[in-house]
Amino acid sequence: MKSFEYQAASSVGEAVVRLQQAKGTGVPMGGGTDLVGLMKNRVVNPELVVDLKVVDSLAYIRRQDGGFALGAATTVADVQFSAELGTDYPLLRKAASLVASQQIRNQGTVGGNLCQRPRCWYFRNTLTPCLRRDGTYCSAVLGENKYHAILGGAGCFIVHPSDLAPALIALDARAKITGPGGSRVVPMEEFFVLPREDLHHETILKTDEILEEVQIPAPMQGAKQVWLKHRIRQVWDFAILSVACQVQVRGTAVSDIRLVLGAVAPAPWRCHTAERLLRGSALTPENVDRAIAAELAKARPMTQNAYKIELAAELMRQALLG
Amino acid sequence: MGEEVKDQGRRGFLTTAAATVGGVFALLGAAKLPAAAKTELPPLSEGVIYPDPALCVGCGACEVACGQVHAEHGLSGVPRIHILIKDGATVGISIADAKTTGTGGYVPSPCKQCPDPECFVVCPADALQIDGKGGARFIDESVCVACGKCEAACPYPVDGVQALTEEPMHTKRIFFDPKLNVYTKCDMCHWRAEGPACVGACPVNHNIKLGLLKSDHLCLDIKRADETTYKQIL
Repeated sequence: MKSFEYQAASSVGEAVVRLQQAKGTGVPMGGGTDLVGLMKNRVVNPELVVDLKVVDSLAYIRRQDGGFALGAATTVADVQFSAELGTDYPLLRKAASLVASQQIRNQGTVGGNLCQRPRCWYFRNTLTPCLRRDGTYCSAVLGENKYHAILGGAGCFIVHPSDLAPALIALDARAKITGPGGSRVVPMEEFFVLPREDLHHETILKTDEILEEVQIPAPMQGAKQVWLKHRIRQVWDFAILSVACQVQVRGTAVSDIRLVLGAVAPAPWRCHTAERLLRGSALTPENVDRAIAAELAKARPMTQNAYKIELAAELMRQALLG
Repeated sequence: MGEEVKDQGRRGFLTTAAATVGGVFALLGAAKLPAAAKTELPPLSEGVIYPDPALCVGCGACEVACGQVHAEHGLSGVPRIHILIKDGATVGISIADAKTTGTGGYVPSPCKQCPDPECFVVCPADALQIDGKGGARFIDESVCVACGKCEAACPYPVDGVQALTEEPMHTKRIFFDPKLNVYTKCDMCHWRAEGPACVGACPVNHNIKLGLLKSDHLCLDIKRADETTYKQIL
């Protein structure tokens, strides 16, 4: 690991100022469970690390505007064990409870989980070329790509590894971003970017901005919430594929639905096509299959990951009909 | 051409060409005019992006790298090269299969760097320029007035479905950037020491260079913009 300056921020304002002064050479840190590994592997070599976890005012779960607000430094374990959150958002609790191991959940933060870097083995190994990391070329295209993207890839085919991100998008959450110019709130879906928008970053955060808060509105009334995660190891592992779903049925027809796939694309994949087809339709196996087929028609599998199309279809089927 | 040769716009070029033609005319007489008039054509581009659809796996690296590198250089981030998809094509198909079937299913469609670029002639703002070193035809975005005449004049349409967005594409090889309100086209990354970004980012090229794939040429190459090459580009 290269030497760096450590700054324990006392407030959000101080953190932003220090990051601004670092002029792109500083990084914010939550629990550090991802960042420290990246620094040890010399994938990321910051000159300044601004620790946000020591900012007391950033770790909270509180009711706000009929929903909840989570501070970015709230640990994943706090989300997992929050009775209040669990009552209103069972899919978020389930997603949080399946993030890595309990030790990592105790240390890792909500903000860190959303801003973690991809697990692509070419990205994480500085001995192999990577279009995202150093701009040479993507080794996965003609290399080992069984865990890579089937949707949204362009030049780079990482998948976004966060479990909380699809869950929060399914819950229509928003991200409060704070920088030198003040704060802005964006839908969580727009917080993430695909490679064709920004090849080197996974989020819209600028180098002197931090994710300060996640705002979750009240859930859809009477809606079913589902979180499914497929992983190779059943103990703890990153998702091979995950599905987060919030679906509201009035009478016999779907009145509202938010369906999100994780680990299929460089950003959490909101299934707009399937949602559009299902809205107003009965939740029958035929309608669900038609919607899933239309969504996955956009998939462009690579040499080794076509299995993800069938896996995604099956998990979506289970989420909607199970 | 030497280092001292500067980029020249259409007016500048025609002024120089007219002076040259005038001088030649005076020396050789009217009978030599047809031969001398040929000098009005701009110099050929020394290079042109030469794609091989049989090798392209449709990963989109060229498109993404093009947009990214130009944006980092302060230019429009709209890609100047686009990959068009054919039915059933997937990313990362086997090159061996591609050679058997004759195509990998994707067609990269860059600017052909025409020998006599019609876009160069119609621009009213002198935004179409020719790089003094390599002869690349490019748009000076700082003076482009976005009239669209260059796009209309481009004789080579691009029709198909874009691989990355699956959106239909019916345009020419000059593209409009609504964010910056300018038109843009392949400029061969003439300002970039490493050469065109698309060629450098192509993973097939690297696999060929490493000997992992057998091919006597690259997927995206830079060839001399002679008449043969020009006709071969799809």
